[in-house]
Amino acid sequence: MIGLALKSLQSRLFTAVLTVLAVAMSVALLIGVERIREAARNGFSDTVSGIDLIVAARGDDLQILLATVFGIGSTANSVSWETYEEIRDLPNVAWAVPLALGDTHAGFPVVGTTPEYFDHYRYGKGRPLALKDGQMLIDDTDAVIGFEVASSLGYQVGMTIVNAHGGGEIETEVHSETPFTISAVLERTGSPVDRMVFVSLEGFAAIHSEDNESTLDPLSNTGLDMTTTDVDGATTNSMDQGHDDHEHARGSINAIYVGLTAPEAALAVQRYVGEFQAEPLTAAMPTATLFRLWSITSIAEASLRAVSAAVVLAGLFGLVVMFTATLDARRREFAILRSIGATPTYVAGLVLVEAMMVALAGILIGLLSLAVILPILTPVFTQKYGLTLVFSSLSSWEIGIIGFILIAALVASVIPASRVFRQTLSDGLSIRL
Amino acid sequence: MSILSIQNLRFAWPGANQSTLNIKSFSIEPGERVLLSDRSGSGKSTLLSAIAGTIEPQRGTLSVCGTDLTELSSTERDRFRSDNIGMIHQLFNLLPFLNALDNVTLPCRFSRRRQKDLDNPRIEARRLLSAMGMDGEQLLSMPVSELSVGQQQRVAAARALIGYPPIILADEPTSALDPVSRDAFLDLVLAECLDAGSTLLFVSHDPGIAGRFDRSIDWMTVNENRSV
Repeated sequence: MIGLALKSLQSRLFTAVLTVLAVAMSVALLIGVERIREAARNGFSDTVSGIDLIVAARGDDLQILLATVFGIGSTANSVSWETYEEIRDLPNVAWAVPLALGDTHAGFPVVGTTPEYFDHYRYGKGRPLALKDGQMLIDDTDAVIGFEVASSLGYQVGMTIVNAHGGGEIETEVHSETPFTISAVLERTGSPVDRMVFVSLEGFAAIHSEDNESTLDPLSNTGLDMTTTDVDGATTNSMDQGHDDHEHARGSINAIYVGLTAPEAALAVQRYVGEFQAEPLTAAMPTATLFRLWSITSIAEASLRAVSAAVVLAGLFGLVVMFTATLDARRREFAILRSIGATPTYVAGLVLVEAMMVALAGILIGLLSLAVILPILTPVFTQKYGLTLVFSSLSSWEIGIIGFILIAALVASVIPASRVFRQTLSDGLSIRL
Repeated sequence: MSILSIQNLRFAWPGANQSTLNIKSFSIEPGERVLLSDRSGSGKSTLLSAIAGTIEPQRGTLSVCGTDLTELSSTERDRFRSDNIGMIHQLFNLLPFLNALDNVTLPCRFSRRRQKDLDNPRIEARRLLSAMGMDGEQLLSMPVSELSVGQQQRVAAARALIGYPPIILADEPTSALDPVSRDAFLDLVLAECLDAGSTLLFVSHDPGIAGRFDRSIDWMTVNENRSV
């Protein structure tokens, strides 16, 4: 039956190929969307894989995560240096890296931090940051820049740049008097680090050393600008003599990346931070917080899935249309088969087998083309969105989807098959049109 | 015993208010080669469908090779047909996407009896096609849609004859052939039936061929329904 079905399909190669392609495209779209969705999630989780907790002024976990790891938005308030030291010295804390946030350079977030940042940040499957060029130095006026910052602005090691104050795309204030020298360019990571400029905490503070009086920042006068308010706590701590009396002194940080000695300690430390006496704090668990992000984005993901499911439906519809449309032209073929002894069940089965072949070929070609297209797309996705697409084996969910498509194709082709069944019964040997 | 025996047979197509078949008595003896002729008229193809078992008469008995078809289920009739009946249709009765050899061996896919009786269906197919004057690898392996009408009818005849079915039914297989091809085709079919001992029921409106059969019957005298 399979040989006969194959030859019959071959005789209608053009329509058969078109139908196969329609199914293939819908399958490729469905699985492709699934892959990109998964890659996005994995990319995000990988980005936070090295950080156990993020401590910031009391606020929303998600907001803290977005502001610190992804450089989107800002934290509610700053955290004092004493708080940082206290958390760093907690028994379960292996390391703590302070972060000062809120500035941008040409639209790229500027992060004030310490060299430990580069020791502890992990991306991908636990890979540490690597240097593309230069030396990992962040002294006073040094800046380490991410890969994308360097490539899109044309920056190289040794160049001097100036910073802007304020976290928007528009540079509200140009700190022309505090230039930085690029000491290093990081390798591409496919993580938000690619889009970040790293300076020392002192350097971050120095950005504001000249122009506090004549600020153009509309927020700085209202007391809402988190980078310029609430920062006097630790100015005496500053090791940078030049900026002792400034608001952005070493004492002004916005968040702390915390690594724990054991992951089991996370809840205890989180509770300790939540009940912190000196100031109200929140300790966000990055991985758990990401799940909250997923619950928000799941609506968009669901609609994306729905659209690709609709495309699959359209593909299957094309399959039914193709088989139903050719039935009349094939009545003679069926009558011949009947005349030599084929039962109506056999003839209807022939149509079913053909439909399954088309569906199967469509699925296979869809998967194959994904296997070809995804590796081609991967560099683009990595560059643009920091996503790594993988086409390894199929997940059980995807196998389920494919099984479902096959079953749906089978069910759908019952429509033309049952028509054939009735037709062959009534036609007998002579086709009465 | 007659190989084909019909008593009081009536058949009407669904929805028709007149029966297409109304046959009191009709029979054919084994090995007979019978022409059923009629200048015009209806019901001959319907009779062949009834003998082949693809339609079910409403009344009467119809026995082929001693089996009463009216008592078989439709699946049993399908199996019976594949084992016992070879059919040649008017035109276009080959699967266009198969070559001549595959078309001829097609019935062996459906009949266990024919499979059993033939050691190798393809060798028998070649023998039949060769007897029909169709030789040459190229001719046998090209799609049948590229063959001439006369060649196609010979392939169809070979397909009907493969596996020695007791009864061959032919529904105006010569109507599309010119007189020369027609005579050549008839010679081949009649000779093969004689060889295999098959009974032949040949329907044609062509009066010029009557003399070549053992018996020629006017359809009008068989079917009492005279609707035109």
